Amino acid sequence: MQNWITPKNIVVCILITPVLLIPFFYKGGAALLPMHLVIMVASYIALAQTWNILSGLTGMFSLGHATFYALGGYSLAVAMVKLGLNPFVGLAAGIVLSAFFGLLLGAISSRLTGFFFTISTIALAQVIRTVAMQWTPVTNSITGLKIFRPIVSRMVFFYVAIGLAVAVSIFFAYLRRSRMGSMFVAIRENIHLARSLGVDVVRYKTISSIIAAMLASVVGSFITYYIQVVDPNYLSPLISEKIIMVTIIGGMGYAWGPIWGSVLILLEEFIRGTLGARYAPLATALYGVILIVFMLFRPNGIVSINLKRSFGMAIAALTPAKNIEAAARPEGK
Amino acid sequence: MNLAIWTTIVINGLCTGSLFGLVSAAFSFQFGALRMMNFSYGAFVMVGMYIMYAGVNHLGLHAMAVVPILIVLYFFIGYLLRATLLKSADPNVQIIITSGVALVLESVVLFIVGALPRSLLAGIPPTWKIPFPEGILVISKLNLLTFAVSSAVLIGFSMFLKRTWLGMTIRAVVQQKEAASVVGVDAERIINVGFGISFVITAIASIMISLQFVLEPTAGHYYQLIGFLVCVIAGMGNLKGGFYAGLLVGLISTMANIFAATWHDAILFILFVIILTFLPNGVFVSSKSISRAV
Amino acid sequence: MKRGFLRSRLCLLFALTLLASVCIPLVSAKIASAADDVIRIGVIGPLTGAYAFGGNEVKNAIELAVEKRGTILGKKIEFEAADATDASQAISEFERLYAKGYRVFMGSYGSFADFAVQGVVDEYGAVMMSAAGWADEFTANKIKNYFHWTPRVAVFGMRMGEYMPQYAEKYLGIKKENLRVALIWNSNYEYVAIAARNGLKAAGITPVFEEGYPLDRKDFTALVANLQSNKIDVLVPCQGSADGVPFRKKMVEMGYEPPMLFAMGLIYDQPDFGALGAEVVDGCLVLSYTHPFIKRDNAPGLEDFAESYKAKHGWYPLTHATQTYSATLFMFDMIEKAGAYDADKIQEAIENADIPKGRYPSYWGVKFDDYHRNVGAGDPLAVGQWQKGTLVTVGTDEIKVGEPIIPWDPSKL
Repeated sequence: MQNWITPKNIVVCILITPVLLIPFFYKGGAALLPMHLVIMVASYIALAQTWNILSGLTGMFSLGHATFYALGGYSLAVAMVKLGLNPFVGLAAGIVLSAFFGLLLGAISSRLTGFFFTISTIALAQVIRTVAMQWTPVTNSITGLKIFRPIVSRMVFFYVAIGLAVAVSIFFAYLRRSRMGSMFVAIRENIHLARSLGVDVVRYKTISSIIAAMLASVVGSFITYYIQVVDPNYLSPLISEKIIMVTIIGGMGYAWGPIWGSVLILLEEFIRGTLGARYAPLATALYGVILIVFMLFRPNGIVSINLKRSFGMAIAALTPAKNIEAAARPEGK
Repeated sequence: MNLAIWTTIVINGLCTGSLFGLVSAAFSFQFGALRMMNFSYGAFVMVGMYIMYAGVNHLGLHAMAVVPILIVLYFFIGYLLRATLLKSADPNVQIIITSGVALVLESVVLFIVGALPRSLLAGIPPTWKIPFPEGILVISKLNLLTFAVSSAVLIGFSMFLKRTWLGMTIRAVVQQKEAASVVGVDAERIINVGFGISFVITAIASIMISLQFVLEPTAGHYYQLIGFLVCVIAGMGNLKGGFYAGLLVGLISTMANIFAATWHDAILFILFVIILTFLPNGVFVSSKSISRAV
Repeated sequence: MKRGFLRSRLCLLFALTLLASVCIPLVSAKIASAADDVIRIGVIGPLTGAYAFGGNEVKNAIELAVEKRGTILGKKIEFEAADATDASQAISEFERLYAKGYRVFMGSYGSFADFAVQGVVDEYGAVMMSAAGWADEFTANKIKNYFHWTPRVAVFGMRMGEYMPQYAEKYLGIKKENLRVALIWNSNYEYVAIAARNGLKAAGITPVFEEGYPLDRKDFTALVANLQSNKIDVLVPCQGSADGVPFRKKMVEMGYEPPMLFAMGLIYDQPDFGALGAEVVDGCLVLSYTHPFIKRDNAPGLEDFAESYKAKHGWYPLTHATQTYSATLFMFDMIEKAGAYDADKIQEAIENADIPKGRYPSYWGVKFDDYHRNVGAGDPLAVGQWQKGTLVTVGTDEIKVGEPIIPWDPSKL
């Protein structure tokens, strides 16, 4: 833990402080939108970190992560709306349900790896989506469920969201440095070697799935409580894709990855706010382009960008070759 | 239900299945033979459908005139795609890049066209009505055309791979890339060409789909999933098996529609997971799989 | 090397934090006072994505209403339509508009945006009225600032149970006790089918055949065959365009025409359906909200609305547009009655409204009950039949312009 008090981390804390004080910067109701944006970004960070655990750390590339997020949301909503229970019961139920599906995913991963595992995550997502659409008495199909909750100040949600993002990120960093984390990384790097060294691959893959699933469910429950609506949109492939884009562009497998990447969410809001609604699909297209560009040139994400080196290379590329040659020739010739 | 109706249902199921087989053939070739994970496959099917629509409804061309344009265009798109974006061999990278491409395609189409569903053809589809014991057999001509086209394309493609020089070269590169390079084959270019050809099959599939079904920007997801499903059931790279698997999926789909309509999607996907888990090489394992030796 | 690396990372970090703290305020506007020289009407709903068509219809209708009216209380009307394709976007857009001074919102198409905004209107003090959504959940709880103009789907179902047997008895000669009804729906519209089922049950009819299927089903041969073999008198479909269009085509292809097809709105009264051509669509009956094809004499402003809309957009407005247009005009009248752009006063004016039929283009009266549902809505609903490729209103008597031909026989046109 001591090696976390680095100059860089201290500087980060100083820089983050203005964000924490947003509720106090704006007068009257003007803080509401910035707070909402921060809540959405923070929850994306938390959610992306959970995917980071599953796919970045353990290498189980999942394209259906929105499933656990939605399970958390639906559990909360069903508990509150259909069963009239306390929201914390819903939260707990969501965690248990997601843990179960995490276990299922772990079991699947024992038989399937790589591409086939990825497809099975898509299949699982599709099955859950079918259930959400067809089990009308419980999930209310396409209309979704509407929660009625007491009016809670947005500031509360603001700080809870930031707290969640920080907590999950710190957990990720801790996990990465822990013994379990090194098992995960071993599985990611070379599964056969890990197995031959005595790592119980199936057990650790399952643990990874369960942890990721449970945490994602917490985020889902939180967001559902905040927005007061849950519907099959929560299960859309677009959310799963956004999660992976954000993490990959930021840097898969690094604690800072999702944090960098989630700033992109603001980009979309910016486009929508300035250019207007019609151009919203272009924001999504832009995501796709950024993703492709990153994968081609910087597959390790923003965290791997070394500004000094990049600038140096750019300058070298732009300098005409003969000047360099001339400069390299000894004086006088 | 009498015999005539059952037979009608089965025949229509087979025709839909042949469409599934066609759709997944290109995907199977890309994945099994060329080792490219293409998550933008469905998106390209969707784009092809919209190009047909644009050609027929906005440029006023006859459908038959748009077809060759589309096919040639798609060959070049496939070639370029492989040449520029899909150079990496790491499957995760390919998945991510092609997902990005799919996202861009869908968003741009949505932006240009809007989400309103459209149909290419209006009016009653032409049918053959054949008298049959206990009733009349109603067979849609479009369905039969689909079946004929799918079979022709798949047989043609198999022949191409087996008999023509280019086809044999592609197979050689797929099986033994270094050895092929040693004997003077430009492996990268051949793979690019192979990819282009698989895109031609994609174009044909999207033409057949646009004739029968509704066009929406999100239409690609369904065909992507069908592609996965049929490929996995057939075994990757297994073209002939892919066709039969397509027929099988079409029939299962039709039966599910009759008996357990609401759970149709869940049935297909649970089946999919079961097969993936217990028969990862596919149901129609064939020694004639393209990625194996002749 | 290490220090340089660290420094460059810090620079990047700093740049990104700066970017973030610049973007956030740029995206949010300064809070504007509600007491300006402008009357602001906003709508938040899907303008892109799967529900874009409905969302755009709603936006077009409000736009037209704003154009027609021009000013209220001497102040100009300002209108903005915000795009939201899911609930959290709806909230951000609401925030953005609220900060700009918007206090009056119309509801949009598809429920998620309305649900999301409905949840915050009381907290913030903004008035909202939905005219295009029909889910029962909208009015399941009492929300002070939320009003619902169009009949709930439950009411729609009740009318199906009332009207359909009348037609069956009059034109097919079958009494409702002996009526064989088939109910089909796609998974998205199960709640519509439930409403239809309840409405039929209230009339004493139980469907003899029911089938719900997943939305992306492509092949309807089996379903049509099933219907054929069950000897159905009346088919009641609850279908959208992705499935309704191929289904209808398949019916015609297989030569299956039940004595009466009586649809629960949705695709069956939309231009996409009409575009399939007279051979495919003629004969279908459809229950709808009031729309431009009802008798225009009794609905002031309807003719003007329908023709202006067509001139501007190229097709006649659908039910959602008609309802939203009327609801917006009503909202303008209420703002006028309140005397100020004040959410509480406007809310009071709406709550006390009691307007008889025949005042607005939608023809319906306006009076809101405890749960803020419009009890004048759905009285009556329109029954239309496609004849020669156009929709002709054949019921109820107050609003019809023609007579139905049941069972369908083109020679009787």
